[in-house]
Amino acid sequence: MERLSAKRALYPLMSVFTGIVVLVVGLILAKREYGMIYLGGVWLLLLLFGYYKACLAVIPFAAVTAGIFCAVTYALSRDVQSTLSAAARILAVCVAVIAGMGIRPSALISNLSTLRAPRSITLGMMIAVGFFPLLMRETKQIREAMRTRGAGSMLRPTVFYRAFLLPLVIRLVNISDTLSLSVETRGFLIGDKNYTVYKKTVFGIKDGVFAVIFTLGTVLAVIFL
Amino acid sequence: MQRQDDEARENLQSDDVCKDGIFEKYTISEQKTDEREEDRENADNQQANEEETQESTSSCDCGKNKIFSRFRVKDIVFLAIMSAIVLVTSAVMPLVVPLQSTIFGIAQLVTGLQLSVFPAIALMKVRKTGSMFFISVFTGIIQLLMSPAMFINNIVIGLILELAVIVIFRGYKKTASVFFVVALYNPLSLPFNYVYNLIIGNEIMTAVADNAPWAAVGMSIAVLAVSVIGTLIGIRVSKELEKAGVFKK
Repeated sequence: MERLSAKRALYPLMSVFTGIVVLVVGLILAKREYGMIYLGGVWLLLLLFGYYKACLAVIPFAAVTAGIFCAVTYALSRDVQSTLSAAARILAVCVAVIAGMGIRPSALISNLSTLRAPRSITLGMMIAVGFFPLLMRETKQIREAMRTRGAGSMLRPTVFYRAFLLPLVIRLVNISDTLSLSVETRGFLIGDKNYTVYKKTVFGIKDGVFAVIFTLGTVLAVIFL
Repeated sequence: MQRQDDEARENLQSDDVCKDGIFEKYTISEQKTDEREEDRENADNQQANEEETQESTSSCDCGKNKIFSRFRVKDIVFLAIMSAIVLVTSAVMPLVVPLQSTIFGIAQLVTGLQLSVFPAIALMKVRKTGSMFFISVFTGIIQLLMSPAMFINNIVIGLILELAVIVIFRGYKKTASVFFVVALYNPLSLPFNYVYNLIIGNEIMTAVADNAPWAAVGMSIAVLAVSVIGTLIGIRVSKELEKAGVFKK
């Protein structure tokens, strides 16, 4: 996700909202003849607003998925219009994903913190998102320990359970205890306490311009396409 | 000896620590002991009442996140870590997305085990109302960016199960409640997805179930079976760790 994020991404919540709108409108327009023009326009708009990495990354996935869906639809219905509609639906899902893919999860959490979302939610989200590398490292270490002990193949259920799953959960519990202690000593509190947001997310001019173009484009597409 | 008794009595009055029976070896008059026990009982009752009041306000007061105040940082951290592992292990799902148009419920089948083992462990440790909802929200953060429909699916199912557990079991005190919630968490997304595809008019997704209803029923049973097995594994792991003292209360 991080590698696909835009350098200067749009206001995170607006990106999420954009994704939802594109999905809904894209699915509504899927049955119309020129519905795909709207999706192409949104793709281009996001590309121009710095989401080029996500825009390009989605192409192979969209091509494969749309190809399979189109093939199945055509095989079942023998109707070109239905096949195009199926392709438009898949493309709507793929284009809707771009806006979300282009923002960092941490930016979204920071946005929620700025808007004073419950601390318990933002704290949990932060941990859930930032925990991936640590989890990978732990898994690697446990597998190395298994190899050292000559535990055997992970495909054997008993080996998997005793030598991998149990140590992993024990490590997770220990990490959780340490992390919660660490979090508490750094002043994280759950409840109605006021807290400082170091990196505030603000709605800028670029976001405003995007919002205007996107809204106008969507309204025009729904009316005229 | 009398002087020592007096000193002990003075200490008892001034210091709360002395209530724990440090001066038991001294002979204190029965009347004084009764008074002290009464005081202690009163203090205990008062504390219990305070705790009860706090609990009732936190569970009933819907304003300003009061419902979350019962969760400690430790609980949130553990639930978040378990959500992270659910997310990581569910990364296989995008690989089978193209197959969804031909095999009903394939995505739920490949994620069935991960989505039941780890939430079961999480709920066995954090037996508090709202835990499943928290897991849904934490796993939803990535889904919100990747697929908003999946996020809504997660949240709705989390809420439904929380409500069901409150109505049926009144919380997660019993292991049966954990089993009930976790075993249904993943399979419930099957009807949700079907209804969602029906609403948005995605015929190809609904056609998979409509064209071969028995295959769809079979896959639904398979998803449920995988979830049940996963939940049982999760509960077993938790009990083993509880016995070993890893799950500190």
